[in-house]
Amino acid sequence: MDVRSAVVADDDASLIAATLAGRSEAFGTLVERYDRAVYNLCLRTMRDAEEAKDATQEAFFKAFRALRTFRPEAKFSTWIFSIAYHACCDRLARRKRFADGELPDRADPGPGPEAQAERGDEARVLRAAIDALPEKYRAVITLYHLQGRQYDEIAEVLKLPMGTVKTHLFRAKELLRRRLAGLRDDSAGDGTD
Amino acid sequence: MYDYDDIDRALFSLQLEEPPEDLRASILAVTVDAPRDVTAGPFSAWELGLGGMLLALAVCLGLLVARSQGGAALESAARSLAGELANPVVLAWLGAGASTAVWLSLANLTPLLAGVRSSRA
Repeated sequence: MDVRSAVVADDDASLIAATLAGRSEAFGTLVERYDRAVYNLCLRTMRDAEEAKDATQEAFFKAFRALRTFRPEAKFSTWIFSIAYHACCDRLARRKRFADGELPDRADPGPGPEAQAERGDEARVLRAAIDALPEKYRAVITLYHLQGRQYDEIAEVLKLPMGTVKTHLFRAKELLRRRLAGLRDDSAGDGTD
Repeated sequence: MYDYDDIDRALFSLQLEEPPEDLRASILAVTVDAPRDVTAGPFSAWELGLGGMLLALAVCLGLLVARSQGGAALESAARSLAGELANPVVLAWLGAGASTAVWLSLANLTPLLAGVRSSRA
Protein backbone atom coordinates (compact mmCIF):
# COMPACT_ATOMS: atom_id res chain seq x y z
CA MET A 1 0.00 0.00 0.00
CA ASP A 2 1.23 3.51 -0.80
CA VAL A 3 2.35 5.16 2.42
CA ARG A 4 0.58 8.35 1.31
CA SER A 5 -2.82 6.66 1.26
CA ALA A 6 -2.37 5.57 4.88
CA VAL A 7 -3.45 8.97 6.12
CA VAL A 8 -6.17 9.62 3.54
CA ALA A 9 -9.00 9.33 6.05
CA ASP A 10 -7.59 12.11 8.24
CA ASP A 11 -9.00 15.62 8.10
CA ASP A 12 -6.90 18.47 6.76
CA ALA A 13 -5.98 19.81 10.21
CA SER A 14 -4.61 16.41 11.28
CA LEU A 15 -2.64 16.13 8.05
CA ILE A 16 -1.11 19.56 8.61
CA ALA A 17 -0.25 18.69 12.21
CA ALA A 18 1.29 15.41 11.01
CA THR A 19 3.35 17.25 8.38
CA LEU A 20 4.60 19.71 10.98
CA ALA A 21 5.45 16.81 13.27
CA GLY A 22 7.75 15.44 10.57
CA ARG A 23 5.45 13.01 8.75
CA SER A 24 5.95 14.60 5.36
CA GLU A 25 3.84 11.91 3.61
CA ALA A 26 0.80 13.62 5.20
CA PHE A 27 1.41 16.63 2.96
CA GLY A 28 1.35 14.22 0.01
CA THR A 29 -2.21 13.34 1.01
CA LEU A 30 -3.15 17.03 1.03
CA VAL A 31 -1.67 17.35 -2.45
CA GLU A 32 -3.71 14.35 -3.65
CA ARG A 33 -6.81 15.89 -2.14
CA TYR A 34 -6.51 19.37 -3.65
CA ASP A 35 -4.20 19.33 -6.67
CA ARG A 36 -7.05 18.83 -9.17
CA ALA A 37 -9.19 21.61 -7.70
CA VAL A 38 -6.27 24.03 -7.43
CA TYR A 39 -5.14 23.20 -10.97
CA ASN A 40 -8.65 23.90 -12.31
CA LEU A 41 -8.80 27.27 -10.54
CA CYS A 42 -5.40 28.15 -12.02
CA LEU A 43 -6.40 26.84 -15.45
CA ARG A 44 -9.55 28.96 -15.59
CA THR A 45 -7.69 31.99 -14.26
CA MET A 46 -4.60 31.67 -16.48
CA ARG A 47 -6.26 30.04 -19.52
CA ASP A 48 -2.98 28.29 -20.23
CA ALA A 49 -2.36 24.67 -19.20
CA GLU A 50 1.40 25.01 -18.78
CA GLU A 51 1.13 28.20 -16.71
CA ALA A 52 -1.68 26.67 -14.67
CA LYS A 53 0.57 23.72 -13.86
CA ASP A 54 3.40 26.05 -12.80
CA ALA A 55 1.05 28.18 -10.69
CA THR A 56 -0.36 25.07 -8.98
CA GLN A 57 3.15 23.85 -8.20
CA GLU A 58 4.07 27.30 -6.89
CA ALA A 59 0.98 27.41 -4.67
CA PHE A 60 1.72 24.07 -3.02
CA PHE A 61 5.39 24.98 -2.63
CA LYS A 62 4.47 28.25 -0.89
CA ALA A 63 1.91 26.47 1.30
CA PHE A 64 4.47 23.83 2.29
CA ARG A 65 7.05 26.42 3.26
CA ALA A 66 4.52 28.51 5.18
CA LEU A 67 2.71 25.60 6.84
CA ARG A 68 3.79 26.76 10.31
CA THR A 69 1.93 30.04 9.78
CA PHE A 70 -1.35 28.26 8.95
CA ARG A 71 -4.02 29.09 11.54
CA PRO A 72 -5.62 25.87 12.86
CA GLU A 73 -9.09 27.45 12.87
CA ALA A 74 -8.88 28.22 9.13
CA LYS A 75 -9.73 25.87 6.26
CA PHE A 76 -6.81 24.48 4.28
CA SER A 77 -8.87 24.57 1.08
CA THR A 78 -9.50 28.30 1.47
CA TRP A 79 -5.85 28.91 2.22
CA ILE A 80 -4.46 26.93 -0.72
CA PHE A 81 -7.04 28.40 -3.13
CA SER A 82 -6.13 31.89 -1.96
CA ILE A 83 -2.40 31.25 -2.42
CA ALA A 84 -3.05 29.77 -5.87
CA TYR A 85 -5.35 32.57 -6.98
CA HIS A 86 -2.90 35.28 -5.94
CA ALA A 87 -0.02 33.39 -7.57
CA CYS A 88 -2.09 33.46 -10.78
CA CYS A 89 -2.78 37.20 -10.36
CA ASP A 90 0.95 37.84 -9.95
CA ARG A 91 1.67 35.82 -13.08
CA LEU A 92 -1.02 37.66 -15.04
CA ALA A 93 0.40 41.00 -13.90
CA ARG A 94 3.89 39.87 -14.98
CA ARG A 95 2.47 38.72 -18.29
CA LYS A 96 0.85 42.11 -18.73
CA ARG A 97 4.13 43.93 -18.04
CA PHE A 98 5.96 41.88 -20.68
CA ALA A 99 3.20 42.02 -23.28
CA ASP A 100 3.22 45.71 -24.29
CA GLY A 101 0.04 46.77 -22.61
CA GLU A 102 -1.94 43.67 -23.48
CA LEU A 103 -4.70 43.15 -20.92
CA PRO A 104 -3.79 40.25 -18.63
CA ASP A 105 -7.16 38.55 -18.78
CA ARG A 106 -7.19 38.78 -22.56
CA ALA A 107 -3.65 37.58 -23.08
CA ASP A 108 -4.51 34.04 -24.10
CA PRO A 109 -8.11 33.95 -25.27
CA GLY A 110 -7.88 30.50 -26.92
CA PRO A 111 -10.16 29.42 -29.71
CA GLY A 112 -13.22 31.25 -28.27
CA PRO A 113 -16.77 30.00 -27.83
CA GLU A 114 -17.75 30.56 -31.46
CA ALA A 115 -15.00 28.30 -32.74
CA GLN A 116 -15.81 25.73 -30.07
CA ALA A 117 -19.51 25.83 -30.93
CA GLU A 118 -18.66 24.68 -34.41
CA ARG A 119 -17.31 21.50 -32.88
CA GLY A 120 -20.69 20.94 -31.26
CA ASP A 121 -19.35 19.95 -27.82
CA GLU A 122 -21.49 21.59 -25.13
CA ALA A 123 -18.94 21.29 -22.34
CA ARG A 124 -16.24 22.74 -24.55
CA VAL A 125 -18.55 25.59 -25.59
CA LEU A 126 -19.33 26.36 -21.96
CA ARG A 127 -15.66 26.23 -20.96
CA ALA A 128 -14.77 28.51 -23.86
CA ALA A 129 -17.55 30.89 -22.83
CA ILE A 130 -16.20 30.92 -19.25
CA ASP A 131 -12.69 31.56 -20.58
CA ALA A 132 -14.00 34.56 -22.50
CA LEU A 133 -15.27 36.15 -19.25
CA PRO A 134 -13.17 38.77 -17.43
CA GLU A 135 -10.75 37.22 -14.93
CA LYS A 136 -12.71 38.26 -11.80
CA TYR A 137 -15.83 36.48 -13.10
CA ARG A 138 -13.95 33.36 -14.18
CA ALA A 139 -12.57 32.80 -10.69
CA VAL A 140 -15.98 33.22 -9.03
CA ILE A 141 -17.71 30.86 -11.48
CA THR A 142 -14.95 28.27 -11.10
CA LEU A 143 -15.02 28.34 -7.31
CA TYR A 144 -18.81 28.40 -6.97
CA HIS A 145 -20.06 26.11 -9.71
CA LEU A 146 -17.12 23.86 -10.49
CA GLN A 147 -15.64 23.55 -7.01
CA GLY A 148 -18.87 23.88 -5.00
CA ARG A 149 -17.46 26.52 -2.63
CA GLN A 150 -19.71 28.70 -0.48
CA TYR A 151 -19.95 32.49 -0.84
CA ASP A 152 -18.02 33.16 2.37
CA GLU A 153 -15.15 30.90 1.34
CA ILE A 154 -14.98 32.49 -2.12
CA ALA A 155 -14.96 35.93 -0.51
CA GLU A 156 -12.02 34.87 1.67
CA VAL A 157 -10.11 33.33 -1.24
CA LEU A 158 -10.54 36.34 -3.52
CA LYS A 159 -10.33 38.86 -0.66
CA LEU A 160 -13.61 40.47 -1.70
CA PRO A 161 -16.75 41.36 0.26
CA MET A 162 -19.42 38.66 0.05
CA GLY A 163 -21.81 41.08 -1.69
CA THR A 164 -19.23 41.64 -4.44
CA VAL A 165 -18.87 37.88 -4.90
CA LYS A 166 -22.63 37.55 -5.37
CA THR A 167 -22.64 40.47 -7.81
CA HIS A 168 -19.75 38.96 -9.79
CA LEU A 169 -21.57 35.66 -9.92
CA PHE A 170 -24.78 37.24 -11.15
CA ARG A 171 -22.97 39.30 -13.82
CA ALA A 172 -20.92 36.30 -14.92
CA LYS A 173 -24.07 34.25 -15.41
CA GLU A 174 -25.72 37.10 -17.26
CA LEU A 175 -22.72 37.35 -19.62
CA LEU A 176 -22.71 33.58 -20.13
CA ARG A 177 -26.46 33.56 -20.77
CA ARG A 178 -26.17 36.26 -23.42
CA ARG A 179 -23.17 34.68 -25.07
CA LEU A 180 -24.64 31.18 -25.17
CA ALA A 181 -28.02 32.49 -26.36
CA GLY A 182 -26.21 34.39 -29.12
CA LEU A 183 -24.37 31.25 -30.14
CA ARG A 184 -27.61 29.26 -30.18
CA ASP A 185 -29.30 31.91 -32.34
CA ASP A 186 -26.33 31.98 -34.71
CA SER A 187 -26.33 28.21 -35.15
CA ALA A 188 -30.13 28.21 -35.62
CA GLY A 189 -29.76 30.93 -38.25
CA ASP A 190 -27.04 28.94 -40.00
CA GLY A 191 -29.31 25.93 -40.08
CA THR A 192 -32.15 27.79 -41.82
CA ASP A 193 -29.90 29.30 -44.51
CA MET B 1 -33.45 30.59 -25.02
CA TYR B 2 -31.10 30.11 -22.06
CA ASP B 3 -32.35 31.19 -18.68
CA TYR B 4 -30.47 31.32 -15.37
CA ASP B 5 -31.59 27.82 -14.38
CA ASP B 6 -30.19 26.44 -17.64
CA ILE B 7 -26.90 28.23 -17.01
CA ASP B 8 -26.77 26.99 -13.42
CA ARG B 9 -27.53 23.42 -14.47
CA ALA B 10 -24.92 23.52 -17.23
CA LEU B 11 -22.28 25.01 -14.94
CA PHE B 12 -22.94 22.60 -12.09
CA SER B 13 -22.76 19.64 -14.47
CA LEU B 14 -19.42 20.79 -15.84
CA GLN B 15 -16.65 18.41 -14.76
CA LEU B 16 -13.29 19.56 -13.50
CA GLU B 17 -10.55 19.05 -16.05
CA GLU B 18 -7.90 16.42 -15.45
CA PRO B 19 -4.54 17.93 -14.47
CA PRO B 20 -1.38 16.86 -16.31
CA GLU B 21 -0.22 13.39 -15.26
CA ASP B 22 3.07 14.66 -13.87
CA LEU B 23 1.55 17.52 -11.83
CA ARG B 24 1.38 15.62 -8.53
CA ALA B 25 4.91 14.27 -8.93
CA SER B 26 6.24 17.74 -9.73
CA ILE B 27 4.55 19.20 -6.61
CA LEU B 28 5.93 16.46 -4.39
CA ALA B 29 9.36 16.91 -5.94
CA VAL B 30 9.53 20.53 -4.75
CA THR B 31 7.90 19.90 -1.35
CA VAL B 32 8.11 16.63 0.60
CA ASP B 33 10.63 14.94 -1.71
CA ALA B 34 12.85 18.02 -2.02
CA PRO B 35 16.34 18.06 -0.51
CA ARG B 36 16.36 19.06 3.12
CA ASP B 37 17.32 22.66 2.40
CA VAL B 38 13.68 23.30 1.41
CA THR B 39 12.69 22.73 5.05
CA ALA B 40 15.80 24.45 6.36
CA GLY B 41 16.72 24.63 10.02
CA PRO B 42 17.25 27.85 11.97
CA PHE B 43 20.68 28.43 10.36
CA SER B 44 21.65 28.26 6.72
CA ALA B 45 24.79 26.48 5.52
CA TRP B 46 26.85 29.66 5.16
CA GLU B 47 25.85 30.82 8.67
CA LEU B 48 26.94 27.51 10.17
CA GLY B 49 30.21 27.65 8.20
CA LEU B 50 30.96 31.18 9.35
CA GLY B 51 30.14 30.30 12.96
CA GLY B 52 32.45 27.27 12.78
CA MET B 53 35.29 29.38 11.38
CA LEU B 54 34.91 32.02 14.11
CA LEU B 55 34.84 29.34 16.81
CA ALA B 56 37.98 27.70 15.42
CA LEU B 57 39.71 31.11 15.29
CA ALA B 58 38.74 31.85 18.90
CA VAL B 59 40.05 28.47 20.09
CA CYS B 60 43.29 28.99 18.14
CA LEU B 61 43.83 32.47 19.61
CA GLY B 62 43.07 31.19 23.10
CA LEU B 63 45.68 28.45 22.76
CA LEU B 64 48.28 30.92 21.46
CA VAL B 65 47.71 33.29 24.38
CA ALA B 66 47.82 30.46 26.93
CA ARG B 67 51.11 29.09 25.52
CA SER B 68 52.87 32.47 25.24
CA GLN B 69 54.00 34.82 28.00
CA GLY B 70 50.45 36.11 28.13
CA GLY B 71 49.64 32.99 30.11
CA ALA B 72 50.85 34.65 33.34
CA ALA B 73 48.77 37.77 32.60
CA LEU B 74 45.78 35.55 31.96
CA GLU B 75 46.29 33.85 35.31
CA SER B 76 46.46 37.16 37.19
CA ALA B 77 43.33 38.38 35.39
CA ALA B 78 41.51 35.21 36.44
CA ARG B 79 42.60 35.77 40.08
CA SER B 80 41.42 39.38 39.97
CA LEU B 81 38.06 38.28 38.54
CA ALA B 82 37.62 35.66 41.26
CA GLY B 83 38.35 38.37 43.87
CA GLU B 84 35.70 40.67 42.41
CA LEU B 85 33.15 37.84 42.34
CA ALA B 86 33.68 37.40 46.08
CA ASN B 87 32.49 41.02 46.61
CA PRO B 88 28.78 41.02 47.81
CA VAL B 89 27.99 44.31 45.97
CA VAL B 90 29.21 42.88 42.64
CA LEU B 91 27.22 39.70 43.28
CA ALA B 92 24.07 41.74 44.04
CA TRP B 93 24.40 43.64 40.76
CA LEU B 94 25.00 40.42 38.84
CA GLY B 95 21.89 38.90 40.46
CA ALA B 96 19.79 41.93 39.51
CA GLY B 97 21.03 41.75 35.91
CA ALA B 98 20.37 38.03 35.64
CA SER B 99 16.83 38.30 37.04
CA THR B 100 16.05 41.16 34.62
CA ALA B 101 17.31 39.04 31.72
CA VAL B 102 15.15 36.10 32.81
CA TRP B 103 12.09 38.33 33.23
CA LEU B 104 12.57 39.86 29.75
CA SER B 105 13.00 36.43 28.15
CA LEU B 106 9.72 35.24 29.74
CA ALA B 107 7.79 38.36 28.65
CA ASN B 108 5.59 37.39 25.68
CA LEU B 109 3.85 40.01 23.56
CA THR B 110 1.90 37.47 21.44
CA PRO B 111 -1.39 37.63 23.43
CA LEU B 112 -1.26 41.43 23.27
CA LEU B 113 -0.76 41.39 19.47
CA ALA B 114 -3.50 38.76 19.05
CA GLY B 115 -5.88 41.05 20.98
CA VAL B 116 -5.06 43.95 18.65
CA ARG B 117 -5.63 41.68 15.59
CA SER B 118 -8.98 40.38 16.84
CA SER B 119 -10.20 43.90 17.69
CA ARG B 120 -9.36 44.96 14.09
CA ALA B 121 -11.27 41.97 12.71
